[in-house]
Amino acid sequence: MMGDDHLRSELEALERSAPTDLPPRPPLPARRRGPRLMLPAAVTLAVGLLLGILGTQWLDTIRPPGSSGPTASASFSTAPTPTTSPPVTELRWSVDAFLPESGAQPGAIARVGDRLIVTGSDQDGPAAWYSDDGGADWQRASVIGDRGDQRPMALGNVAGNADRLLSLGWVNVGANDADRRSVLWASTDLGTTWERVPDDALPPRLHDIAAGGPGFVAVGNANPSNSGGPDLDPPHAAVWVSPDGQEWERLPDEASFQLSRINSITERDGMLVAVGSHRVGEEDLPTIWRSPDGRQWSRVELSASPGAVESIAVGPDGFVAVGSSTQGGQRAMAWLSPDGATWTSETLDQMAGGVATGAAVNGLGFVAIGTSTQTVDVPGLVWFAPVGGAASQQDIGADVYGLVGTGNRFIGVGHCGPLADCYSHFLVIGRPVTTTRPDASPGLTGDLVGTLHGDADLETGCAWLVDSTGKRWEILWPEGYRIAFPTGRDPVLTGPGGEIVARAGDVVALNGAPPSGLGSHCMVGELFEATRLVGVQTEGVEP
Amino acid sequence: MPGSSTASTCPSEGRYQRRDLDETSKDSCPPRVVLSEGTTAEGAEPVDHTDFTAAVDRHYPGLVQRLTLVLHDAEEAKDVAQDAYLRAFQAWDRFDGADARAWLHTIGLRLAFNHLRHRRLWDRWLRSQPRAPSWVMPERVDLWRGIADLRPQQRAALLLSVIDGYTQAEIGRILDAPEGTVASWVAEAKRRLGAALAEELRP
Repeated sequence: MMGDDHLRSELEALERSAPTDLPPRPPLPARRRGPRLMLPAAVTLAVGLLLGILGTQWLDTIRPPGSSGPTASASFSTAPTPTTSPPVTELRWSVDAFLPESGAQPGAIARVGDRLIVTGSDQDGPAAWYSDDGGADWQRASVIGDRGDQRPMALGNVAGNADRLLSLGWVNVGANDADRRSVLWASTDLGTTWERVPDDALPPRLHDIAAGGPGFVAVGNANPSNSGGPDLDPPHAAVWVSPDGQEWERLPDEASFQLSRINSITERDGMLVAVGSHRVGEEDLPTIWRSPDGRQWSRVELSASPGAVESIAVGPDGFVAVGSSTQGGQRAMAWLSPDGATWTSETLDQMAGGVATGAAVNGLGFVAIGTSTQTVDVPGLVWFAPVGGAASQQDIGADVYGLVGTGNRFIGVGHCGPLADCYSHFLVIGRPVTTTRPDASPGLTGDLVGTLHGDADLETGCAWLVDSTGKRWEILWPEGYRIAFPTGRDPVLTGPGGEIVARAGDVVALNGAPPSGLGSHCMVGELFEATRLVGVQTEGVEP
Repeated sequence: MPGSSTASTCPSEGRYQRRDLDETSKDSCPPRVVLSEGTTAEGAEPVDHTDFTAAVDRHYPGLVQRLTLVLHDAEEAKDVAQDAYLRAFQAWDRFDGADARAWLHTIGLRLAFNHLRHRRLWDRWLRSQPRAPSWVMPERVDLWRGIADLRPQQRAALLLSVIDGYTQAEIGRILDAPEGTVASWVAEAKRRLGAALAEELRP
């Protein structure tokens, strides 16, 4: 038996053996390293630090060499992204509160042309918002009726085109959260106004909708009950078509729908592709269905190994379907196809069980979102696979509910969750990091050029620039400019009009000089008194 | 003791001058906070910082080692220790002069807990890392792993109690926690550590 004395001696010995002077780490790209002194509170730094520090030091020990799976380029695309050169291999994520004053609870996001549409609910019921400037400013959409309804209700996935949009939402019709039935809202003004589609013609258990075929196609469960309860077991899928979203026709029951569950549907170049699972014997196999018109469907099982496809997204180079394989433990998977006919698979998570539940695609590659099936206290999982590269897990530190790819960004909505330091619903933006760009961009000139960093916990919140030599500068900003921490985590630099000028990780060029006789407040580095903001360069191309 | 020799090699500043952090010495020495002519950061009344180095520098290796066990990561421990020194320097004029080590450890441990709130996800990864660092002697790998299974507050309370001999009330003041909470932390840490070490350490 070992008592306190022995425990003390053992702990003392262990503590005394701890190094106080470690050899330096292997050199890392400056962009990914970040300042070593300050605590990396900003989420925007987390991706870089996780990949740069943990990735370099820990990830390599966790992942067997060469185990990161086949590349996404096998049949997807090897074409260079049209917006950046060299190809982007890394994303930087920034998180901002989503309309915190509105009590907004965004649940899904869609892009129609240049407009972003977020759907969900707020304290008064179903709600939607739209942005015409890439997510910087949001306007509340008008939701006709339903506001003030006592039943929990929310708008959800959006499909359609400029002439007519549908949002597939839900209303709670029972005592439990699971007692939901499908609800549709329609918009003919690009999501500025939403009006409820009468329920009487609406299937109760829809999983997803897409524009295509005769107008719109919906997939769901064949269970005719209006109770809104869980899908029947064994599964039995059904497909409905509608010319306008108002009147729906259920397609005749096909053999391919029986013992199947269809979770998601999308359309590209006239080809509708639905995804889900099909039961063979005792096991569900990941499955896709294709249709040129929404009425005639053919089924292809993606794998002989059990699993399911949860969601599908479409991008400039093809389809990305995501889900999980349950062969030998659950693992998040992605299936890639240029045409919906031929598919290749990629394992997303290498170290822990997970399931991918959504995806978004743009010219950079694709991002998959999902959850861990092994723990309940890990925020949602996110993976990024650049065009021509393997997927890597991203650290956003929160659950992302919905995600959309724009020209050079991924924009999502979600919730910080109970483990993160913020509790607000958020808008998350993934922007590309070009692998060759140094901290201080050669494209910007000024008396001081550096990358914006910050720490909300230092004093009342401090921000600084790190120049190309790694030196930190505490900035006295030009008149009208100030630093804010809207999420309590990431610093943003706002301009005279209150607009966001730069975010953490952006390169900022200033004119000015170190002042004399002034003391620094944050004590993070030398003081620099800026007289003019010369320019800001966000990482990648898109500002 | 490794820390002693490390501390003795640190460059000594007779007077702190305007702040600047010397990156080259940060790994082995307290950060050099440089302030010109003894003025405060806010430009207020001059404060004599000449004895700051003498009072706190020698505690730097011990603080790093303590934070290494609490954070379960030597590199992060140095980051937090450096930050603690900056905070200590900022608050030097408010230090009562009684116990520089305890004062420094109080700052460092509270910063460590704050730091941990920011890296919960990372922490999971770190704790899932199966290998002990190379500096952990083979006979103490199980102890290192056992500590990994403790909550950071439990680690800190255990070390303050078992190694330093602080009372629960004193630990409560250091960690800003109720005395009863400290008692439960220490008891739980001993229990879990004992279980982790297969009965051997159980009191």
